Amino acid sequence: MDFLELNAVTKDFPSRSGPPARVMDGVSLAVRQGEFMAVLGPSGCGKSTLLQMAAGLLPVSAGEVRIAGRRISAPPPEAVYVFQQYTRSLLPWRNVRDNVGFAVEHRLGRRRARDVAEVQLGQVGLAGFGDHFPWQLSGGMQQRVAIARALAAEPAMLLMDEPFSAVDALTRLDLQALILDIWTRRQLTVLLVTHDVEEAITLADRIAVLTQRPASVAQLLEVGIARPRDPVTTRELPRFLQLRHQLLNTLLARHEA
Amino acid sequence: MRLSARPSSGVVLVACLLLLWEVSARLDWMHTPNWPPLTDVLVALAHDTLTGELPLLVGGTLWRMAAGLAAGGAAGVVVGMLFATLPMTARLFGPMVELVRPIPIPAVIPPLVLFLGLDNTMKVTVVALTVFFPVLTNTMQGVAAVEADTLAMGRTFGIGPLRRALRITLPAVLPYILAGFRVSLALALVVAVVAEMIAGEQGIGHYLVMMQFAGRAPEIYATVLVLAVLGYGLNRAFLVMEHRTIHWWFAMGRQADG
Repeated sequence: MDFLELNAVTKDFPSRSGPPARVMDGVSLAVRQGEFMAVLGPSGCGKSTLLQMAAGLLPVSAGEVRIAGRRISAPPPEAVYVFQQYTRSLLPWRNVRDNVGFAVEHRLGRRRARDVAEVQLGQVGLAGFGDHFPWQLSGGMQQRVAIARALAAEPAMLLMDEPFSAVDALTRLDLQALILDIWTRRQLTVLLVTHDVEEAITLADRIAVLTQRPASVAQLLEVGIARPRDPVTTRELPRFLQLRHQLLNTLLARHEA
Repeated sequence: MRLSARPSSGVVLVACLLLLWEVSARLDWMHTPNWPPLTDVLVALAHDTLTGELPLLVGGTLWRMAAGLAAGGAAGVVVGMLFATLPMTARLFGPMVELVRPIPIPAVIPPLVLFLGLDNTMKVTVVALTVFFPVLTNTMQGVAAVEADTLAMGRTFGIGPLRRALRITLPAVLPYILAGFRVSLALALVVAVVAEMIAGEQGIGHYLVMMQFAGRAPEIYATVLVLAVLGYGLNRAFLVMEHRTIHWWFAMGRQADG
């Protein structure tokens, strides 16, 4: 069953001079329930725009977005957006516990939100860090806080916008393993936007490749690598290398030599 | 944080100048009865303090100043939030605000007297007008600086607009608002005293003018001393409060610097 459906989604942004600029042209994409899908595209192609429309954070100009069969026009309770810049999405005046609790305290009240936060912090390996402030933690730990906060809302789906691009390479592998672990345990549906080809192959079931602006889906690939995947050995498999070769060539707009 | 009190060469200079004051007055270097020794000033200060006259006057001035600060500050925050979130309101009222802002505040006292009389209402209003503009400007800057991602974060968790405004925008803008208040605080004291000097029979400003007419130099200097200490104390107290309230802001600033 398709959990998220984008049907002929088009997006125009008003421009100061002349007609509105079309950044997305008739994108159709369906993410199955429980699937991990990655969206790859050249930078500036509108990947984030696509994800924001899928999250109900940005209106579509034409077409429709459906989550769990319902057409959405505002952020749905089933899906949570995880931002690229944790420094902007975490609230510096709240400690880590209350940042995580922020996801649910408008529904549960502050006391129960704190209990939820403690549990979720344990899930991302940050037990005992509740009293710290975000700016006292490393980048990787801050993104873990943001992930814990997303999980606190108990979403069925995570929409992740290059969530590991602002951390160093080793921390990135760590966070990738964490997100795979969470995805498996919670049977989540994930749509991940990235410009990192290896990240997409390591994590995803399928990879959608977008074209330059105005973006449309150029390719939809089945990764077909068995799970569980190891962040190190997966990268040495022939299938991994073959996909990497193919995807990089596509993204760099090169023809097979 | 430059809040720690350490005796520096600056403090020594102040002490030397106070000593010079005492000596110059005792030896009558100035050849005038209007240059009383510091000790005479302190005696006058102690006398007026013990009779309760000075504390009462200072209390009245502070009360009016605080009321004006609260009213003008609250208005500045609300209007600033409104201007920044609804561009329509800024386009409509912005030009009016820009026309009123450059008027020197003491100049609005005479017309205000016509409408509001000589007493509390007029003085509180004058202070409120003084405070309104810096707080308004800072609030608008603060709202503009709130990251779009931060607000979108609230939306993705299904948090409504009012709660987003109170739990995301307001705390994020608080450092800007407090900076506006810090600037306004010094102005508010100045304007409260000036208003008292110009009109009515209230507060430390009026007392100062009365003492001038009576030619009582020690009382005049005592009053000026009180105002100096008051201004210094208010600023210090505000800085302490500010650092406690938005410790995260200063902590992040330090981190960015280091």
